[in-house]
Amino acid sequence: MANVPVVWHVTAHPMADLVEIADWTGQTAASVVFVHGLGGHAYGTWGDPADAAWFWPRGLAASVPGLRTYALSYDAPPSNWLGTAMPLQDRATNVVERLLGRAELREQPLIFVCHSLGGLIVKQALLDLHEQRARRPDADALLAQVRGVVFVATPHSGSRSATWMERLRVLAWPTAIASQLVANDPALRKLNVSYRGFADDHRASLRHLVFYETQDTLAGTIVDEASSDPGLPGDPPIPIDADHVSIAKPRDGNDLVAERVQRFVAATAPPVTAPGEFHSASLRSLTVRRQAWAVVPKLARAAVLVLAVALGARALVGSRAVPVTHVAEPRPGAPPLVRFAAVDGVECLPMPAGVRVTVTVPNAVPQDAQVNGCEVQLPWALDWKAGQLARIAVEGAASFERAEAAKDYRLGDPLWVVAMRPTATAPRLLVQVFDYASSESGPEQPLAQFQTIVRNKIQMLAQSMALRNPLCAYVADLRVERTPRQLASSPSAALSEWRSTGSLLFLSGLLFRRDAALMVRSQPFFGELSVGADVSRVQIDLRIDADEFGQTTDSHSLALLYALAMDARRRGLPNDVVYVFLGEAVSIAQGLDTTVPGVQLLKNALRGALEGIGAPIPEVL
Amino acid sequence: MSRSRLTQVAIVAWLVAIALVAPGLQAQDRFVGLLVAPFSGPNPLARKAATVIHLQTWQTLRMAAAVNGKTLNFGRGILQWTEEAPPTTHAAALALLAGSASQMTLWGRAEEFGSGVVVQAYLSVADADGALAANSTLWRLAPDELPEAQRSISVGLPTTLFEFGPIVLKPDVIPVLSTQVGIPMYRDRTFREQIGALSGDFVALEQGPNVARVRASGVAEPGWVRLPGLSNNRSEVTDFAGGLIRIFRQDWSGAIELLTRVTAVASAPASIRISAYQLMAAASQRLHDQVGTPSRSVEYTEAAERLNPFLRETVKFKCMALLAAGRDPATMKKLADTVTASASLFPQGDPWLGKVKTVLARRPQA
Repeated sequence: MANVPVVWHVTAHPMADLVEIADWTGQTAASVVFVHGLGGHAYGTWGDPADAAWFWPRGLAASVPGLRTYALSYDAPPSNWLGTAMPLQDRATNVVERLLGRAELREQPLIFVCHSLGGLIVKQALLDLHEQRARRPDADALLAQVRGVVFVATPHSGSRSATWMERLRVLAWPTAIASQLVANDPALRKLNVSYRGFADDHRASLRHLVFYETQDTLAGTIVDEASSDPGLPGDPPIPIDADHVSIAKPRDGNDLVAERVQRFVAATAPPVTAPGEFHSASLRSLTVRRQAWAVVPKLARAAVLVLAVALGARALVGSRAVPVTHVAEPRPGAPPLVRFAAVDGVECLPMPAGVRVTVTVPNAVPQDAQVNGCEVQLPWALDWKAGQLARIAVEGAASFERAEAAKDYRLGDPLWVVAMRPTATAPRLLVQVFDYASSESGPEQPLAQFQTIVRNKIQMLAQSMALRNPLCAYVADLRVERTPRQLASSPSAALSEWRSTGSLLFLSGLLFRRDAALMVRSQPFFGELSVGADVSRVQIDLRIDADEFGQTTDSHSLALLYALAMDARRRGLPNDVVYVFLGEAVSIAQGLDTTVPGVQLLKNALRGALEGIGAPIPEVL
Repeated sequence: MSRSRLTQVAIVAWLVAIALVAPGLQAQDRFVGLLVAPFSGPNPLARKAATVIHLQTWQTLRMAAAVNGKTLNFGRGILQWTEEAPPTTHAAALALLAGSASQMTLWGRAEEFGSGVVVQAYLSVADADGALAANSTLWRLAPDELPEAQRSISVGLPTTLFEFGPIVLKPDVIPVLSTQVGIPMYRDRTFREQIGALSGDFVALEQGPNVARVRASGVAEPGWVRLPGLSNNRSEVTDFAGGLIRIFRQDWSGAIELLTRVTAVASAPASIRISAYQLMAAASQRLHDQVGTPSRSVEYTEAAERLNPFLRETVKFKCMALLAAGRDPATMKKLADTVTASASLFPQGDPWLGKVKTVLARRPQA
């Protein structure tokens, strides 16, 4: 491989540009365009182009006779401190024109390999081509050649990192395109839905390959599994042992990403009889000359920030005059803090009402302690002696059992942790409602209203179900609790919390605005109860509106009843008990509008649950 | 015959009729009561919404059914209003019934959602079998095929907690219900002269289409109030509550009339429509037993089954209808198929289903 370039710069060209990387001197079988993502580079995103042994776009071309590869260059800094970037839709338009400017792309099959944001740009570009095909023959011809799209860690429903960037926008100053990557952004959702329809219309000629990252960068997971899934039937995302950056830099052709893409391209490109010689292009420098005045807004913003920091520091110094209330040191011999925790790491595990704790120290009468949530108030009457050992007995926690059967606690230790775990056969009777994120500033009241009606509905449904059958009376103990923080974004962390807290169902989500309407996206999390059903990614999108009250309460009722039914199955309860929940769910499903996003997935889950107990499937499902 | 003569004859006939049924009245006279509690939620909107629903339900009360054969006594239907704190649970709603003449509580909450307000109503029934008077259960059969000591198969109310569909208040009603001033009371039905406002305890005296005459605390004389339509969509709340009162009063034809309206409300929850069909099935059979009108109980229970075949009560009511429908082999075949298809809805060895199977085994089948 000759002509290895040594010159490339970190700043990309502001206008989209298509750089040829490698081709063959004979027949061309297909073209592949590599599209980098936010903050990426036409070359650097895919590896080191100076590496003579392996650079992905070049290596891929070399492995498929007749393949020509390109890298798309465009400016996409994440922050305005680093440059400027046009919004996603504008960038897509820009890319479309650049692609249409290369006539050779309309002559052979075309495949896109997209990293991160690049996937969104390509999706929007294909939709634009689709829209223009009737009036532009070149658009129609180009679209007809598009045979495949490879998504590498593309945030189809946004990225939480971008969400954080947006929240810290005063400092981070995200570019227009970065702001559009906010998790669950309505525009992204619309793009996702439109593209699914497009892909479905072209399923005979258009194939997809999807990869997602499983490792954290220093900034955590950039695109989680759920967001990296475009929801295209038959194209399940493939997990890769890499983080968001390294996933696009396969080490060699045997790397799983490179190997699968090579097979994908080879299967798409028609075989050529005379490919000729492999040729690696000399990569030209991609630099940009910026106008001097572009620095002015940066300087102005920096000045404002410096001023704000100075004023804040002054306010902080001034606050020293406020008297500080000192917390007294615990006196010697004072009881330690005693707290229930979960074996999986949840440090505060509230105990249900009725739990009785007894503390025993040697040569003393056992004494009852009061339980308040996850904390235990030890009786002062205990005769504490330094170094003494105590035993704690827990009764009445039907849903939980001690993780350590016999443990001694030593006086002098400031914290006594009583580790608990859910009893395998105990019913899960806790619904935790986590804080819903909000892409809107201020509107806490609609979220509060939403959470109130969902909580009321769940509690009423539990009362109603408890009356239906004596064997379901346990459901009367179901609790709905507010958890004043957001649910962990990582599925494994959420699952761990679900396991350790003995919860039945987690509810979390997002408040956002679609057009003029205030919307809530609710994401029920069923933990291990969703085994065998595709409800782990269900997102119910509802308008915050009185007319949507019924859909709001019914969709969450369906989620609850599904969870109750699956929990009853988990516990080995007889089918007639499972039927009590599923039967009620069938009644509720009749009033649900399947055009509400997420409802059909819930109905599918219900269908699966009925099939699981050998029941016939009613028409309503 | 002159008009005055006709009037005299009518009065005499009425007195004779009263004399004939008086012993029955004395023997069976009872109260069938519905207690309406103030709704929880933003006041005074929630309270006024409950008042309107109360008066609308009260309008479903009637003196007697046109056809009810031998049991003309419907007892006394009453609607009560309580000034207790709004209940928020089924248990609290039932607790309000202690010491009252009512057997059920209509309660609920008004909830703000977005820019609108939604009223969610519930009906909690206590001592359902006791409230059903004479036979102490909704529907009982005594098939000869069962041993004498066990000769009884029955069903009660489908549930004791009914949840209605949400009532989305009309935008123009919300400001009317939200003012601190009570519902305006007028001297007469011309609604020109306001004499006070209905805001506290009250007694309903007289009814008309969308109007009611009430005596209210704090207002010197009775007055008329308008009952606004709460929602653009029809609600099933008053018809269902009124229908259940008629079931308890054994006003079978009247119950079917109101409950039929419930089944026609497409936006009503399936569970409420299913319950309505089941109550109609029982009422139809009871009416058939009393006056010989054709029973439509199989038709009603099959309609409930079409809505949801996975509820045990749906199957029970259908079995009752088929058992009561006769002994012909085709009906028994249908019963056998129902029992086979639905066995998994019942626990192993369920005594109720066991009785049905016993009857089935002893009747000829197609």
